[in-house]
Amino acid sequence: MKVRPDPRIQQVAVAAKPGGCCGGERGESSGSLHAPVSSEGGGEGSAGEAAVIVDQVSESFDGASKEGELESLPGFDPQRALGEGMPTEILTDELLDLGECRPEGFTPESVCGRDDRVEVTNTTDVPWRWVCKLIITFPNGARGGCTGWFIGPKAVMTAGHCVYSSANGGWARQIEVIPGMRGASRPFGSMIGTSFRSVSGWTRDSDPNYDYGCIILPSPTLGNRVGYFGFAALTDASLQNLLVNNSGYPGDKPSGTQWFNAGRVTNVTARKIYYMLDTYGGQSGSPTWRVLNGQRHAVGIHAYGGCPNSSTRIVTAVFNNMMNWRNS
Amino acid sequence: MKATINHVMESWPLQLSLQWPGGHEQVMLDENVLIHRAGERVDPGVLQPGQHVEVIMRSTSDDGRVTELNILD
Repeated sequence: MKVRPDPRIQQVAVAAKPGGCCGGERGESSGSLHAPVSSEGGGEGSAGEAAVIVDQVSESFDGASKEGELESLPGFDPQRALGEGMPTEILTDELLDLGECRPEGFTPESVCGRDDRVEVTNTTDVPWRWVCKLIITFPNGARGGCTGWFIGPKAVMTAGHCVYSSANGGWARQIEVIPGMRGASRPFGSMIGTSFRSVSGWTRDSDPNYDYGCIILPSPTLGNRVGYFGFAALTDASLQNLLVNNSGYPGDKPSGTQWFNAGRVTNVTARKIYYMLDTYGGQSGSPTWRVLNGQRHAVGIHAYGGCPNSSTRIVTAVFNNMMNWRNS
Repeated sequence: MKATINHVMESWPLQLSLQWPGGHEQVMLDENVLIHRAGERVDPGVLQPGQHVEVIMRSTSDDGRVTELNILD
């Protein structure tokens, strides 16, 4: 079924496995900067809206519960994290002074205020097992780490600069995908991907607004075993002040450990989502997701630090590319 | 060589988008990069867009990673 989105309507599609579904609504056209490109060379069709098979729900879905929910994780202090995402006009003096209370020199700027990150210890559970440690080998021989997340049996979403790095010679040579990694433990094993996707806005123009990519694995075995996130393209109104979650594999923590943080979206632009969630190098590519009525939908791909930290926003054109990659 | 940080990409190690006087470039930091601010060593996580930095040393290997960096402000 082909559906042209009504700007007042949310598109919802793709049930997460298990649970969840996804959506998208922003009426962005599939501009050429979202034109998909492949590590095998050339483009692979358009990011047009017609590629999406959608269900629809009414805008009334934007009601109070639209605010989203936080994942529950032992040790995570939601009140503290939420304070860091508050609009500045309602911050108290105490909260405004937080930055001056932290130990000098040891709190990275991408950790906004107090470091609220907590380690995920149950990485074999949903949604943590959908999140993958990525070990990247670039064409110049350099190695790096990022985070990815399953969106389909063979498709692992991540940042564009994790699959295509102009600093390191272009398309990655290979990326090892390790879902639910915890320290040295690889509870689901791993798989090596050598086929990658991104868009021309990233590979040609290095435009941070288009910094997203995907790993296409050689087999659906791993994705079918662990399941995958749904994803959604939401309106500005739906995203503003939304409670979002993020989990990934930061480089400042013990190797192979997954860390979670959550808080509010503080700003939304046409192609980016900003927040004060604590992140660190290594978390590029990690999912930024909302929980709503027990369903999880990724709304962004974390990519940039600097407080506010930011995700590439899943707008309609991104959503459509993800759908195509998911069905690879 | 002095530059301004345009963007901080949170791979590990970090990748930076740098604005030089004559253009821009994306670079990757070495995992053991030495970063100093006002003479004190600081964590790579302090790097932010808009900061003026001086690249002191880069790897001589093909990857050209930044191995030493000073934050100027």
